[in-house]
Amino acid sequence: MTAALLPQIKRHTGVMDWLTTVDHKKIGLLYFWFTLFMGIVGGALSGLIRFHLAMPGATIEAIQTAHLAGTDIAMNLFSENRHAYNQVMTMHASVMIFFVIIPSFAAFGNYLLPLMIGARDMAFPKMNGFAFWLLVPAALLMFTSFFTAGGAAAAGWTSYPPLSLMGKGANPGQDMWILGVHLAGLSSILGSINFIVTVANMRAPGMGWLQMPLFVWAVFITSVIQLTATPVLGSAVTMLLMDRNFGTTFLDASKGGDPLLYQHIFWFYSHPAVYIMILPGFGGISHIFAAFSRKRVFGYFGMILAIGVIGIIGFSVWAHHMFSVGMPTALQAFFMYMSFLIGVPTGIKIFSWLATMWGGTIRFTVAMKFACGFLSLFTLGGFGGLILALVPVDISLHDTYFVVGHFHFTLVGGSVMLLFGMTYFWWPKMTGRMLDEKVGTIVFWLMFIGVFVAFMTMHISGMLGMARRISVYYDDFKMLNLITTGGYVLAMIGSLIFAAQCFLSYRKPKVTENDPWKINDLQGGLEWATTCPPPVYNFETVPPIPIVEQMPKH
Amino acid sequence: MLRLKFLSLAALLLLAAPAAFTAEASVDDLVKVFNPDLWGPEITMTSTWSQPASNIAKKVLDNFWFSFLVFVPFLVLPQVLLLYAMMKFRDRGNGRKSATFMHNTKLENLWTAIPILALAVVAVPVYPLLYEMELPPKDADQALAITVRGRQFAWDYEYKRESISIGQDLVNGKQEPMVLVKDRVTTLRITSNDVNHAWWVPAFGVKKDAIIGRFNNTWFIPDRIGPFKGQCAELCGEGHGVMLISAVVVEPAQFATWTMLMKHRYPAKKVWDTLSAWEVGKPEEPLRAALLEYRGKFPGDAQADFALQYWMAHSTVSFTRGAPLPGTKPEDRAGFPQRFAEWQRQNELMKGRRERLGQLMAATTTETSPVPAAESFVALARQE
Repeated sequence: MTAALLPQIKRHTGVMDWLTTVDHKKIGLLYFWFTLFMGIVGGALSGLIRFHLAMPGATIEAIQTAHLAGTDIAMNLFSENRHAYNQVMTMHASVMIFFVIIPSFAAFGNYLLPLMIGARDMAFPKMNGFAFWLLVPAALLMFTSFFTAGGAAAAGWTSYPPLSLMGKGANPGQDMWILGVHLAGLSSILGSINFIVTVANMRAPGMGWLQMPLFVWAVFITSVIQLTATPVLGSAVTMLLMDRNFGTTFLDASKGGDPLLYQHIFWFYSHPAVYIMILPGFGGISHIFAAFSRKRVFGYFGMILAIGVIGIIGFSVWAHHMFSVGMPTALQAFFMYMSFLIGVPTGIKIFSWLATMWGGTIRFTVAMKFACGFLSLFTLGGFGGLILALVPVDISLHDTYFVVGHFHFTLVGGSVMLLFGMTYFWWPKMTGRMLDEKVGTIVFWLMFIGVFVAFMTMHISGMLGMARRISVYYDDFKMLNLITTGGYVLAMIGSLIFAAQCFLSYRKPKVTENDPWKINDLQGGLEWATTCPPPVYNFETVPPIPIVEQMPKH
Repeated sequence: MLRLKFLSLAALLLLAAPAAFTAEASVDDLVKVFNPDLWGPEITMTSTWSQPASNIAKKVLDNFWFSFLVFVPFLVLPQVLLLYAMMKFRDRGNGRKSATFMHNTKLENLWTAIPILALAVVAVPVYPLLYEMELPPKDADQALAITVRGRQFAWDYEYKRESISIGQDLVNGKQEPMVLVKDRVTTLRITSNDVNHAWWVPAFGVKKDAIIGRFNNTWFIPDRIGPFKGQCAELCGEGHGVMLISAVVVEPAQFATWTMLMKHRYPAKKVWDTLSAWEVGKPEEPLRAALLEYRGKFPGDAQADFALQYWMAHSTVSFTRGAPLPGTKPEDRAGFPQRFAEWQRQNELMKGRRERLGQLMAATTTETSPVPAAESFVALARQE
C-alpha cells in the first residue's frame, strides 16, 4: 500500500496538529501529559496541606499558647485561615480524582487499546478528541474558582449538603466546581462509550472476546462501570446546582428535602469510581507480571471474572461510606457483608498475580519493581479496607486518618504505582524512547518507602483518634504528622524525578525494535507487533492474531 | 426492682452530697473536674485502641482483634509469597526455563473458597455486636438521656431529665464539656442545627452524624473516670478543626453535685457580671445587691453559697482561658495590644474581687446564721 492511497486527513502540523488531532495515539499522549501536569499540581496542593500539618503552629495547643501569651500562632499556613485549608484540601482531592487518576487510565486506554485489538483507531475518533478537550475547561473552571469571591469549593470533594449549599448566590466557587465535575463526567462518559464500541466492534478478525488481552478486558469493564455510574454523579451534583441557583429544595431539610439523599446518590457513583480508578491498572499490571516473569498470565478467565465481579459488587457497597449517618441496621448489615465480599475477587487477582510469577524467570526491570511494589502496598490497602468494612470498627474509624491512609494506600500505593509501572513498560511503545532504568529504580524506592511511611503512619494516627479534614489537630498527633510529611516528601521527590524523566526521555536515542523488552515470543501482544511508536494507521495490513489461546482448552 | 435500686442510690447520694462540698478547698477541685482545659495539654487523647473507656469501645476492640487475627493471614501470605517468588524465581542468567502452567482449577477454587469461609467466621461475632450497638439495653430507664445538637462550630447538650442545657461557657464562649456518669447507660439523640456534623469521642467507640431534620441515636456505658476529648468528625466548614468535644466521666455522687451546681448557674453568672465590673475600693453596694438577689432566688437552699463560690472559681478559670484573639483583619489587629492588656489587667484584679466577695458572703452568713435562709435576706435588705 502506498502512501498516496491512504486517505489524507492530516491537515495541520506542529502545535495545531496536537490541538486538532483525532489520532488515538496523540490523544493518549495528550491525556498522559495533561494528567502528569495535573498530578504535579495536585501533589503541590497536598504539599501545602502536609507542610502545614508538620509545622509547630498547626496544633490546638499551639493556638492556645499563642492566645494566652498574646502573640501570633507559631509558624503555620492555615491555622487561622482555615477556609483556605478547606479549599486546598477539596481541590487536592478533586484534581487527583477527576483530572489525574481517572483520565490517566484513559491515556493508556486510548494509546494501547486499539493497538492491542489490532484496530487502526478508536470507533469515534472525533468524540475521542472532544472527550479529552472537555477536561481542559473543566480543570480551568475548578482552578479559576480560587480567584472568585469566597474562593474555591471548600466542602470537600464529596460536597455534602447542607455545607455545599452555603454561600449560594454569593460564592460561585462551589458552582464552578459542580460545572467542572459535569464536564469531567461528560468526558468520562464519552470516553467510555468510545471504549465499549471500539472493543465490541473493532477487534481484528479472529480475535474473540476470550482472546482479548487482560488490559482490554479491564478497560472494557471499567468503561461499562463508568457509563453506568457517571450519570448518577451528574444527577447528584445537578441537584446541588439546582438547589444553589434555581430555588429547588431537593436537599434542603427545612423545605422537605433530605441532605442524606445526596450522600446516597453521590456514593452510588463514587464507590464504583474507586474501581474505575484501579481496574484498568489491574489489567495493565497483569501484562507486566507475565512479561517479566516470562510466563503467560495465570488464570486468564478467573482474572476476567474477578474484574467483572468487582464491577458488579462495586455497585452494591456504596453505603459503607455512610455507616455513621444513621441507617437501618439491616442495611448496615447488608452493606457490611457486600463490602467483605468484594475482597474475594480482589484476593483472586492477587493470588493469580503471584501464581503468574511462580516458576517464572523474573527480570526486575523498573516496571516489574513497580508491579511487585504495587502488589505489596495494595494488599496492605485492601487489608485496611476489610477492617473498615466491619461496621462496629468502622464507626470508630470513619472520618479519621485511618480512612485517609487506607484510600491513599489503594490510590497511591495502588493506582499511582500501577500507572508508573505501566509508563515504564509502555513508554518505548508510546514515544519510541526508553526510560532510564537506574533513575527509574531510584523513583521506585522513593515512591515505595515514601508511600509506605506516609500512609502507614496515617493509619496509626487515625486509630489513635485524629479526625480527617482538620487544619489544626490535638498536640498528641504531632510526631505522627511529622513522619507522614517526611513520607510525603520522599514520594513527591520520586514523582518529580519521574515527571522530569518522562520529559527528558525525548532526548534519548530512538528505539529501533518493535519489541524492546523481548517478550513477544511468549506474550503475543499486538501492540508489540508494530513499530515504536506505531505509524499513524498503526498497522498497514490487519495483523494476524499471534495470540496463542488465552483460555486453555479442557 | 431496678427502679428501687436507683431510688435508693439517689437517696444515698442526696445524703452524701452535702459532705462532698462543705470543705472550702473542694471548690477548686470541682472546677478541675468540671471545667478541664480542652485546648491545653491537660487531657491526653485516648481512643478505642489506646484506652477504651466504654463498654462499646471494649467490645469494638475485641471484635477488631478477632477479625484482625482472622484476616491477617490474607495480608501476610501474599507478602511472604511475593518475597519468596522474587528471590526464588529471579532470572539468574543460568538458562533456566520458565514454567508453563497457566491455570490450576483446584488452586483457584481454594483461594476463592477459603476467603469466603474466613468472611463467614468474621461475621459470627460482628453481627450481634452491630445490633447491640444500635439498641440500648431494655432496662435503661435510669439511662442518662442527652440530646446533642451540633451547630457551626459547637455542641449543645440537653439533659432532659435533669432539665439542664449546656454548650457554650458563659464566660469565654468556648465549648463546655459534657458530663457523664460512670457505669450508667448514656443514650444520645444527635441532631444538627445547620450543616452535617458528627459527634465523636474516640475513647467511647461511638460516632454518629448530626444531620438537620433527623435524630440519630447511639448509646454506651462509660466505665472510666476522667476527662476525654474528641471532635467533630464530619467536615462542617471553616471551624471544623476546632469544633472540639470533651466529656467528663464522674462518679454518681459528683454528678449529683454537678446537677445541683447547674441549677445555680445563671443566677451566679449575674453575680459574676457584677463582680467583674466592680473594682476593689469602689462602693460595694452593687456587689451586696447582687449577692442579695442571688440568695433571694434560692430561699432555704443550704447549697446556694457553695454553688456561688464554685461558679466564681469556675468563671475565673474560664476567664483566664478566654484571652482575646488577635484576629486576621488589620483593624482588629490594631486594637489587639490594648484588648490584650485589658484582659491581663482584669485577670489580675479577679483575685482581689473574689476575696472581697468571699468576705462579704462569710460576713452575711455569720450575721444571720441562726435565722432561716429566706428571712436572712429580708434582714440583709433592711440593713442596706
